[in-house]
Amino acid sequence: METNDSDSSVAQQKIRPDEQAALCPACRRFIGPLDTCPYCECPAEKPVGLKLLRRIAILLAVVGLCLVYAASISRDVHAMPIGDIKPVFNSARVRISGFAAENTHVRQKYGKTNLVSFLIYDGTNFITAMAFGNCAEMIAKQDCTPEKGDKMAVVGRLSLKAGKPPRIVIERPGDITIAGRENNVP
Amino acid sequence: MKGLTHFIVGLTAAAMIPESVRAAASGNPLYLLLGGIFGLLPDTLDFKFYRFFYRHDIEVMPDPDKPDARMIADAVAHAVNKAWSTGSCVKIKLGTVRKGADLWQRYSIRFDVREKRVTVAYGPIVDTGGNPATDAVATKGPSATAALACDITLDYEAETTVDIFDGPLLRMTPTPDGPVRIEFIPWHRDWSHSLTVGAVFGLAGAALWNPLAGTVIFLAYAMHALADQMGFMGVNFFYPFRRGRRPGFGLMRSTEAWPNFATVWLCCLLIFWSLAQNTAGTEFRPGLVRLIIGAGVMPVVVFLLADRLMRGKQNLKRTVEPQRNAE
Amino acid sequence: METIFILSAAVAGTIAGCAAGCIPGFHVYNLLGVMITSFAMPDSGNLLPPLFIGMIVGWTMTAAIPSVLLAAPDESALLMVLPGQKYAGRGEGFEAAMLTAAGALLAAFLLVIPAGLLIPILLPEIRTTLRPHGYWVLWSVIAFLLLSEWPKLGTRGQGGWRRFIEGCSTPAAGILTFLMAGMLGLVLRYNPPFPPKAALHGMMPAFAGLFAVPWLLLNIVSRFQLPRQEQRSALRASGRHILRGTAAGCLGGGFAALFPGVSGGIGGLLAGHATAQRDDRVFLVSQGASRMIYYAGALLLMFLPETGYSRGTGAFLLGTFYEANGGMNDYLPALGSIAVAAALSFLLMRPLLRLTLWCVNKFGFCRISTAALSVVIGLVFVCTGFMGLLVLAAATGIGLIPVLFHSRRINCLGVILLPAALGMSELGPVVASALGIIR
Repeated sequence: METNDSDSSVAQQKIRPDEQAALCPACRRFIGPLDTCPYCECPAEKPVGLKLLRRIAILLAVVGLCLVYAASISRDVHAMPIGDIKPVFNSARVRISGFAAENTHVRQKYGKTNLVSFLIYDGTNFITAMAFGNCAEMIAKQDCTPEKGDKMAVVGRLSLKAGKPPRIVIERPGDITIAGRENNVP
Repeated sequence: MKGLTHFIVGLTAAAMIPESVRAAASGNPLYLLLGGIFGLLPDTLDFKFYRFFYRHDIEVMPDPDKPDARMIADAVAHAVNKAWSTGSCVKIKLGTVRKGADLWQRYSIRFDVREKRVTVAYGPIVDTGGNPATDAVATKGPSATAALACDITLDYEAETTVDIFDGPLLRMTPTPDGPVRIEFIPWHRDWSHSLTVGAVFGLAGAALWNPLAGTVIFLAYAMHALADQMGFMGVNFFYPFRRGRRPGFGLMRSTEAWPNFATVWLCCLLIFWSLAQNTAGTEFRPGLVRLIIGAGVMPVVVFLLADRLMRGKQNLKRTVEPQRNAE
Repeated sequence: METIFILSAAVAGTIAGCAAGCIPGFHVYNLLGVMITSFAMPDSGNLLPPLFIGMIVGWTMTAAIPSVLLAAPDESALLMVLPGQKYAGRGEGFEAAMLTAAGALLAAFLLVIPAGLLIPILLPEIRTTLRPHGYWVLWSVIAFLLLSEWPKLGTRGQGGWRRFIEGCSTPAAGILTFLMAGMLGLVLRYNPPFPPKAALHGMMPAFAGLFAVPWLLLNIVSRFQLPRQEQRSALRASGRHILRGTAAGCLGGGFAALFPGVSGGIGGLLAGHATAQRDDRVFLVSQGASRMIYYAGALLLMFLPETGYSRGTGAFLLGTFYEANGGMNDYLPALGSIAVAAALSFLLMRPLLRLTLWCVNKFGFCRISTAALSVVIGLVFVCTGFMGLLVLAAATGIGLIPVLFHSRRINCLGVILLPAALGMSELGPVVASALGIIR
């Protein structure tokens, strides 16, 4: 076998003091975040804070997510008078109760209902309730569109834009509840 | 090609079928998503599954603190010689050398077919982008050469560079007519990139959904294989009826910026054109040639001119500064 | 006279945004949200848009400072370090931040002059074509994000199940992060545990927990000491690096601004892949450009003559209090505000970098991160109460997974991507009902 070694000098890397935890405690080779040295198979000495953080991460993620889920499903949707709506409530999920101030408007495109809207009055102010797309189609098909005077409640997300009247966006047909008719609508 | 390029090419293959676009506009994105996913699937199968199960006979783990080109050269030569003497495949895995969180010791293995030898040379320390680290003191490292006992043939390039993340696996395969064939990462672009496997997936898609889904799957899969065939390594199109990869056309390298970007941008324009043509209610329907020239060629020309201008200024600066220093 | 008021509002917003950008973990939307809910928004007519634009542009420019100088590249914890961290570790953090700022400045220039003229002409037609397809673009982004996670471990040892499990741990951590973040996003989108008055801040605890808090915690736990930073007067990058980085960043940021649910980070990732970036300098420049185009560009769309679009949280917040009149009287001052804000904030970069370095040297890495953490937690509590702290804790756990288990942090964007994709596909309420989130 022929040999042909040549003289060499390989770049020396400067090690910062804080990089010590990234070196194998036995052979001092760089192992980074690995738990075992791939060269001498010595277990790495990781900072206690880091090991703790790993365990905390999993615990927090799983338990925290469950608690957030539990907190959200245990809350009732906040009932809000229309007159109390302020711009800071934009995108809030609320329940509005009142009377249908007019018959439902339905808009269709290519033979499919793509918009359902109606005006609600609760004694304090008016708000337009709207549903789009598949939700509008289902509302129209299930015939849960209110007529003028119907007592009703809707759950949805407030959509508040400057210069436009307030709106509430309905996301499921089941979020509309119609109780009965009522004649004292201005 | 990079992953995004393959993904977009697969998506484009699906988008060129008008029915896919109409379905997407009506709320069914299945065909387009299948196109993207199956456009990327061949590499996913290789890099995320197959390579972890691919067994080797020899593993080379260079010491990061004691560069030993002799050890590596001897190991590679031993693998070739053993394959030749025993008549069986020998697989050797070359490990990378990590020097820091973002520092890797590069080394190269060069096969000299005529002289029947292998040379290993240590190179500079590089970062994860493959660029020499700015604080590298020297660029020349130790080197060593080992002789081979037999003739060899190569299925890829004569020189292999080992630097970042996972090192390559070389398979030494004895051939009936004598030379040992050296195959570079044999687990890549073999069965996973074949049209036969694509056809199997297509049939499964057709059975699970409908013939359009099957067609989209096969087309996206085939486009991936075709795109890879443009490179140097090639692809095994007809596994298991054919063994080994067919050499590529050598038109581009998978990591080159311009081929990747040009492909991605062209695909985006083609997708947009198809959406405009096949979505009901759109009035804006540009012609394909006009779109490619206006949104593709012209911006690229502007960019290239600006790039050229920058390069010219850079060269001028390099010429002027030495003259100034000399004065 | 009105021009002077508009300019003054832009300058004031820029200064506030620049200051906010220097605080690690602090997002400009936090500042805007606090402004909106704490102070009765003045009937300021035309002054709100330049104020908002100034704050957003100023923050976008200077947010590079803490992300470079105050992000510990702990080699015993992280498998890969980001380019900004590499630069800081080598004492070149100043340069890294300025490279990012250069990209942001050039992107702002391109946004104001060529794009500003072309957008009103081209965008309406493009948007009409793309509008029915936005939802599957989002699903495609999700699919690519999950499929493109690279296995970083499992490079040693014999082939087999052990290597496979080790190798796939990183993509698995990525998918887990995405799904958990997505679940959190669904809860916050469809049935948030906050009262209506906290609705505007609904995502703040989640974002703080997913991105800011893990970053700050790692700083505190790490033993990293910032080496002495060199303050160069010139960048070691050529015009070509800046040009390529800016081009890539503009593409990514533009994609993100156009499609709802896609953020600047995702746009930057996609652009990086599309242009096969390998150079750290190009990456840093592209990050700055991508963020500028995304944040400022998305807000600019709101002022488009005749067809204003609401994209991004900035437009959402501003639109609650300000109605764009849809003409050039809105659009041109918006362009001018972006230009002024970008120029001023770029000029403020060097003094702010020096100030940050002085603070780091005087108080130390750990103390600054602790202070920033206190600010973030305090803000979350003030805006969203105890429920917000619970969300913050859960999000922190999720946000730590990619950091500690070596997957990509961008998977945390599942918190907006998944609900957005489901919402745009009109499956959101169905899935939320199936998961029991809404009854």
